[in-house]
Amino acid sequence: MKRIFEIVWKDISQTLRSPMAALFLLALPLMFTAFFGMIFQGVSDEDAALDKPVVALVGEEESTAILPQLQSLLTETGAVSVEVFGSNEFPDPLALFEAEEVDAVLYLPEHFRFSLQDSAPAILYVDENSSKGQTVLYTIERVFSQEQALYSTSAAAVQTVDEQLPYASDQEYQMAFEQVLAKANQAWSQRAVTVSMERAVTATTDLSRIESAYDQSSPGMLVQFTISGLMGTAVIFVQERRTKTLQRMLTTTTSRSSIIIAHALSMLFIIVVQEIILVLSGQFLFGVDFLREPFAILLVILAFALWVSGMGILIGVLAKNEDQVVLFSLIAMFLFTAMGGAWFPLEGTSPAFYNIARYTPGAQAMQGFQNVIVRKQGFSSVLEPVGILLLYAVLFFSAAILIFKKNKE
Amino acid sequence: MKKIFTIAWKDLLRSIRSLYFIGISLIAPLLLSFLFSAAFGGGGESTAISNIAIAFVNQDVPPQGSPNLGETVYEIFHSAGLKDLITLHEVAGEEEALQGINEQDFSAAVIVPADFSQVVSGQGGTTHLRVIYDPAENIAPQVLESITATIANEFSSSKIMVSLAVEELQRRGGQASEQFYTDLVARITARSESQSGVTSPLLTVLNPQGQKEEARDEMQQIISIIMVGMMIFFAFYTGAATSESLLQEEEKGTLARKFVSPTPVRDILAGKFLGVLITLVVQICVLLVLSSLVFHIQWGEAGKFILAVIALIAAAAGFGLLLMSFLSDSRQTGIILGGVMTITGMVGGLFTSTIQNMPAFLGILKKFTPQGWALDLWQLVLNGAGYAEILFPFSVLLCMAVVFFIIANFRFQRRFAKK
Repeated sequence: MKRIFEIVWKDISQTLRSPMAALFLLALPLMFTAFFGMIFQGVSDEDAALDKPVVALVGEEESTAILPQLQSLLTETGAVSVEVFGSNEFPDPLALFEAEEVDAVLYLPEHFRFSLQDSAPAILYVDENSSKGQTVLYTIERVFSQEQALYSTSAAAVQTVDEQLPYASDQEYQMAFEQVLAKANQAWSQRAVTVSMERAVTATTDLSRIESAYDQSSPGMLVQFTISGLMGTAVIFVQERRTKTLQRMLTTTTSRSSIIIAHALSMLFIIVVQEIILVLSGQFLFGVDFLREPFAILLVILAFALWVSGMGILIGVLAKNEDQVVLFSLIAMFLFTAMGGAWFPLEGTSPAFYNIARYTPGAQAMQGFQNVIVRKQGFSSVLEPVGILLLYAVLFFSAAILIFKKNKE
Repeated sequence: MKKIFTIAWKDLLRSIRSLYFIGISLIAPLLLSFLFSAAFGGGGESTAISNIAIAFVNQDVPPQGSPNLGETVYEIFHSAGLKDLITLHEVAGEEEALQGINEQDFSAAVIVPADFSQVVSGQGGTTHLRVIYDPAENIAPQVLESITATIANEFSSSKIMVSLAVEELQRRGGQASEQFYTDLVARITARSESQSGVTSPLLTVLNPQGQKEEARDEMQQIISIIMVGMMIFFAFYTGAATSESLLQEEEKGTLARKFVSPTPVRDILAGKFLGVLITLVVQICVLLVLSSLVFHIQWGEAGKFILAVIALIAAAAGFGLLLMSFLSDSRQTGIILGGVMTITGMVGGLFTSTIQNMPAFLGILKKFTPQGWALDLWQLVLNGAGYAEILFPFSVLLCMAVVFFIIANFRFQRRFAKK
C-alpha cells in the first residue's frame, strides 16, 4: 500500500511541477468559461437590445395612411427600430442603403393593404444571411401575418353580414369594413387566447438564479478540460516506459497491478481536485448554481473523474511516445466534448447523432450537472448518469489493464 | 539553392512520416468537421428538431352542449403538417407531464386550461395556452412557442370575427340565425386554410441589391465556416509545430553540425523556413481536397481562393516561426502550442464563427490576431465577395506575415551567429 502511495505522490508532484498543468487544468478552462459566457450573455441581453436593426419604411403617397400604423406595430415588437421616409424623398428605395444607416428597407407600393386579393406585395430589401437581416425578416413576417389575419377576419365578418343583409352600395360595404377592421385591431389588444411560457422547475425554485449565461459554458468547459487535462498525467506513464523506469520498478516487488492502480489514483486525485476548483469557480466567479445540491455534484465529479482516469490510463498504455499521448488526448477531447453537448446543446443535432451522442460519457456528465444547475432537480436525478459513467469507467479500466498485462516490455 | 531545398525536403519528410503530424494536422480538423457535419445534418439528414417530444394535457371543461375545443387544439398539433416536427403524447395530467420533462422523455408540455372552450366560445374573458419546457433546451421551446402562438391567434381572431359579425349584423337591424353561424364557421375554416403558409404572400423579399436571393444551403454554409475555422486553427498549429524542428535540431546538435558545413546560416534558416511553408502547403491542400470530397464544400472562385490559401500559409508559417524564435528550448513549446494557439484562436473567433450577434468588443479584439484576419478573408471568399473586398484582409495578413518573418529571421540570425 505504501508503495502505491509513493507512486501516487511522485506522479502528482511531477504533474504539478509542469507549467502545462496550471495552463490546461485551470487557466484555459476558466478563460474559455468566461469567454463563452460573455458571448452568450452579449448575444442575449443588453448589447442585442442596444444594437437593434434599423428598418427604413418607405411608402407611395397613397399608402402613407398605413405607414404610422406599421411603424407603431413594428416598434411595439421591440425587435427593430423604424424610420419612415416618403417615396418622393427616395424614389429609389435602394438609395437608402447609401444615404442612411439602415439594415433593411420595407417599401409599400401604391394602395398597399393587408389584402391577398387587391394589393401588390410590399418589398423588403434585406440581407437574409445576416443575423440582423434574419431578425428584421422574422419581425416583419410576424406583424404582416397578424395584420393579414385581422384584415381577413374583418373581411369575412362583413361578407357574412352582406350575404344575410346586403349592403346598399359598395361605398357602404367599404365603410362597414373599415369600421369592423378598426374594431378588430382594437379587440386584438385584448385577444382571448395568449401563450404563457413556463420553465419546468419546482415551485420553490429561486427563479432569479435560473438565468446564467455560464450555465452551458461552465459545465461544458469543465467536461472539455477535464479530458484534455489528462495529457499531463498520461504522459508520465509513457515517460516511465520510455526511460525504462517502469522496467526498473518491475524488478522490485511492486506488482503490475500496484503500478497501474497507483497511476490511476494519481490521475483521479488530480482530476477531482481540478473539477472541484472549476465547480467552485463556476459557483463564485460565474454565478452557476452548482452548490444547490453539493452531494449530487460531488457524485457526478467522482464518477466523471473515474471514467477520465480510466481513459487516461488506456491512452498511457496505448501511446508509444509523448506526442501520441497529446494526439490521442486531443482526439478524445474533441470526440467526447463535441458529442457530449459541451460545445452546443444536443437537442439541435440530427437524430442519428443525438441518439448516439446522448449516451456518451461527456453527455452523461453534462446531464448530471445540468439536472442540478439548470433543471433544478434533486440528488436522485444524478443517479442514472452517474451509474452510466461508472460503467464506462469499468470498461475503460478493464481495457487498460488487459492491454497493460499483455505488454511484456 | 539546392541546399535550401534539401533542408526543406528533409523537414517535409520528417513531418509527413510522423503520426503526430498526420493526426494533428489532418485527422483532427477533419474529425471535428465530420462531427459538426454529422451533428447538424450535413449528410442531408434532418435535425432532431424534427422529432420534438411533446406531452399534451387537455384540462378543458367545455360548457354544456359546446364542443371540446381542447380536442381541436390536439388535432391541430396532431395534424399532417406538424407530424414530422412534433411527436405528441397525450398524458393524463400536469404532474405526469412535468415528470416526463424532468426525466427528459419530453422536451415540453402543452396544457390546455379548463376554461379554454368557455372563453373561446363565450363572451369576453381571456385565457392562455401554457407551454412548460425543459430549461436545458433552447430550440424546441422556441419552435413550440411559435406554433402555439399561431394556434392561439387563430382562436382569438375567430372569436373576434364572430363577435364583430354579430355586432355588425345587429347594428344593421338583423338577427343572427343558425345559417349565419354556419356561414361564419365555413369562412373561419377557409381562412385558416388560406393562411397556412409560413411566408406572407404580401411580402416579397429581395437582397440589398434589389435581386432575389438565391436559395443557399444553410447547413452547407455552417459546415464550410466550421471547416474554415478548424483549418485556420490547425494551420497555425502546424506552422508552430513544424518550426519547432529548429529548436529540436539545436538541442540535438544537428544544427551545429550544419553550421560547420560550408552552408551559410541564412541558407540553413531559409531551408527551415521553406520546410515550414511546404509542410503547410501539403496540409492545406490535403484538407481542402478532402473537405471538398467529404463535405462537398464549394470554395469559391479559383483566383480568390488561391489568394486566401497564400495569405493563410504565409501568416501561419510566419506566426509559428515568430513564436519559436522567442523560446529557448523545445520544452517550452508545449505551453506555446497549447496555450498561445488556443488563446489566439479563441480571440480570433475560430471556435465561435457560427455564433451570430457576437458582442462588439470581440469583433475589435479579433483584429489583433492573424487568425482573426484569416477568418475574415476566408469568410469573404466563401461568401463570393469581390476582389476589392478581399484585398484589404489579404494585404493585412501578408503584411503581418512579412513582419513575423523579419522578426523571426532577425532573432534566429542573432541567436545562431553566437554559435
